[in-house]
Amino acid sequence: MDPVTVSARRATLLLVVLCIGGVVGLALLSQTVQNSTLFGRWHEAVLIGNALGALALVAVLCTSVAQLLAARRRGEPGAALRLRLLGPFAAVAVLPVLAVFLLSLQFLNRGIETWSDDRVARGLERSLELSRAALDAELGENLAKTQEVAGQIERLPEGKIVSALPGLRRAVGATEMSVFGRNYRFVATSAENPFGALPELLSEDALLQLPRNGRYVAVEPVGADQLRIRAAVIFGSNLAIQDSVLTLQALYPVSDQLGSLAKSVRGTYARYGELVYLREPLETSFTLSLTVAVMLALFAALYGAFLFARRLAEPIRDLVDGTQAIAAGRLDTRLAVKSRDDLGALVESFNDMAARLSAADAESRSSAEEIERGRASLAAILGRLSSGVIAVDSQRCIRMANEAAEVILQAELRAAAGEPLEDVAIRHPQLREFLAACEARNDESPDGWREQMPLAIDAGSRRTLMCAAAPLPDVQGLQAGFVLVFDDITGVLKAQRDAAWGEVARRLAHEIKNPLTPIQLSAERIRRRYLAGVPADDTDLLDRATHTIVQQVAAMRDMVNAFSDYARAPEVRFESIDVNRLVREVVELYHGPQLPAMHVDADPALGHVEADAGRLRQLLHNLLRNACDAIEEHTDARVTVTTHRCLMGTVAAVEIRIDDNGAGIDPELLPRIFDPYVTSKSRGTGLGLAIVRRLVEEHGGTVAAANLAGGGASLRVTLPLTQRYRESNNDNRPRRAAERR
Amino acid sequence: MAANVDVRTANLRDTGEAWALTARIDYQLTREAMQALENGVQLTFRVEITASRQRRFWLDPEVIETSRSWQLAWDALTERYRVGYPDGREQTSHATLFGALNAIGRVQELPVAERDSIAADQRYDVAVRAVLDEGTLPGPLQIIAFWDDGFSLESDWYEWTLSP
Repeated sequence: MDPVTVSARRATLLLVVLCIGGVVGLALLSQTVQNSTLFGRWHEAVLIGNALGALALVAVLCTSVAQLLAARRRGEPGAALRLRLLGPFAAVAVLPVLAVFLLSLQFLNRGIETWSDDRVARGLERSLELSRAALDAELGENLAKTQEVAGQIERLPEGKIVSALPGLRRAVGATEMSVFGRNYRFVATSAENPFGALPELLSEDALLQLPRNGRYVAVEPVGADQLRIRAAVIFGSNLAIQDSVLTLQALYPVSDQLGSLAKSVRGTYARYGELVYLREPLETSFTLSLTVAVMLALFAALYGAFLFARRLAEPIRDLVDGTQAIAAGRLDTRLAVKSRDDLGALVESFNDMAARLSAADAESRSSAEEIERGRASLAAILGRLSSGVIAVDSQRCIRMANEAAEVILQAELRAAAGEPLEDVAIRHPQLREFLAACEARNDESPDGWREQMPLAIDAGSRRTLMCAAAPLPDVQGLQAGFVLVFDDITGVLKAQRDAAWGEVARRLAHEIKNPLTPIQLSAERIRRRYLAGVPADDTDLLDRATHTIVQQVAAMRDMVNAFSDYARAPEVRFESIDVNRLVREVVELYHGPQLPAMHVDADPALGHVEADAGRLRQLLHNLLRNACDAIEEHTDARVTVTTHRCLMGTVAAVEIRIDDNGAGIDPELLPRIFDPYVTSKSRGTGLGLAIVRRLVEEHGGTVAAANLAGGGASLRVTLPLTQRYRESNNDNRPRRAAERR
Repeated sequence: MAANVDVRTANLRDTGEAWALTARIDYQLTREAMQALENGVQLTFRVEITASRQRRFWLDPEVIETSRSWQLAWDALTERYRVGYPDGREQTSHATLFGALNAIGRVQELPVAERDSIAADQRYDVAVRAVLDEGTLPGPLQIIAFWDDGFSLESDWYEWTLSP
């Protein structure tokens, strides 16, 4: 259950409780107003209770409205709608109640006003006066009777008073008659009911008046509705009782007719007087009660309007919430259907829509994933290919390229996807020729072609690529282009060439070596046989000639041996070698008066290299001899050997550089300087640098030649520190292997 | 506000049958009370008596807690003030308000408690006060009396220690 429902239920419960409380309070209020005895006891409590209820409602209402306003300010969904609904609801609830209240107030006040009427009041006054006048007549009569009785008692002898009094009392119709002596002590008394209460003493008023007037008469109330007449007279002493003053008090009932009339007048007057007097307090209390009741009803109605607005706005707010959630991408949002009306149908449609959206989303996501998987697997396949692949669209823009293409062409191609080939050619000038050739070939045969293409990465290294192009079909709106697949076959070609050379060398060596021995033997025999026999003049000639033959045959054998060495190298044995030490050892042999100055610049942190010591030594010899040969004629000839650490791609390597300050290499020969029999020198086998390249490649290294800016040539040999990544071909595979690690 | 009701003296005595209160109380009506009386509203005065036994280390138990009421009314026809107990006994009438209030304020040997409710060898705190009983006023007046001081007539407690 969500918190909104809980709070709504709580609010409804609160409203129900308040309504019941309000109804009970109003019922009690009306009861206490109607019933005067209840009114007194409970009215206050009920009024205060109702007022407290109204206050509680006001508090609840204020809190709710404040919350609503705050929600509106925060821009919560549904708040504005609730506020707009609340206005009319509140007006509908409040206005009739207020109208009824004001009308009731007016009726109440006017009704209470009409209670008091001056004429009625005057009439009542008159009737009261009339009653008093009638009573006054009776008073006089009774006083006269009392005075007469007093006269009779005066004439009685002392002892006769007690016995005569009942008769006298009955004669005048008094209910009680007493005679008081000095200090108002009882002398005699007679009562109609002798077993009733004690005889009445003289009243205070009588005691005040008697000494002055000698008589007293007054009507006295007995209880709320009875009257009696009290008459008292002082009479003189008789002969028998010296110096005594007696007082006679008689109590008379008021005559029945007068009594009932007087009772009625008294009661009416008293009630009317009280009514008029209480008019104002009554008005106040009625107004107060009515106000409290109306406030209670009003606030309950307002709160009801508030709740109603909330209930009405709740599904709409839910819908707004849900729509926002969907818009934010939470497609699993569903709303609870709380009613079976139009709003419920709307909510159901919303849920339906959300379900469809989420299904469509899942579908598109899964298909996107599938496409992505396909792309990834294609990319993986392309990435593993050793052949370079470049796809180009009909606008001559690169659509895609694989890693091998970048490695072979040594250009950033994958990042250049979408760029025209021209731009790539501008950024990588070494590709310009290649790309132009490819495009030209493409135009020639648009249905595909296959051809070897030269590629000059830099001045020192020419590569040969086997290229194949095929047009791409026009699928899925992609504009047709072509795909170019190429392989670096430089290594293969070189291997083929090397193999051919080896074969030639082996055959030549074989063919040449065979006649060398007979030639040498023949020359030696001629010398031995004929040196002594020839004339002295010819001895020298013979000696020189045979010597030359033998020497040249030896030289030729050396050459042929070199040939066969080149063709058939022994097994390579790798061991850890201190390159700097080896360099110094070899350089040591080249110190001499006819030799150029040798200078070694060794990197102390060079360390060991895995290499075949014999071959490395031969390599250095070849290079140094080459350098020495190149600068033989120069004065101030100098050869510098530098070693330092470097990187071959990503593999740690060692570079040995041999610089001379000779004439440099003929630029025309430079690209082919490492091929066999490419030489600018008149002597030598022409195999020195070819052997160098072979030795370097056997170690998985590279060798490059360049002319120095200040004159002279520079030969750089780069050897990997370990043979772990060495592969048979000298292409860029060591780097690839390192990446694959 | 100066008290308009004042208990001048009060005493609790063993009459041999019961414990009886004898007291002298001065009543002075406020303008509002007088007006109400003259317009036929009956006023009820109540005298409250409490007695609690003194105890050490413990709450004092109330042994007497009672009250006696007198009614005062104006009779327009006879122009006299009526005084009496609420049950209608001991009705007297007085020509003056002073006389009527005097009659109410003179409490003579009024039995208020059983003889055995007070023991001879204990000490008691006794308190007496007199008030106008607002609860017996007509309803509308009660509401007025809720905020109008004119109807709150009330004496301070008159206290003394009783050790019989």
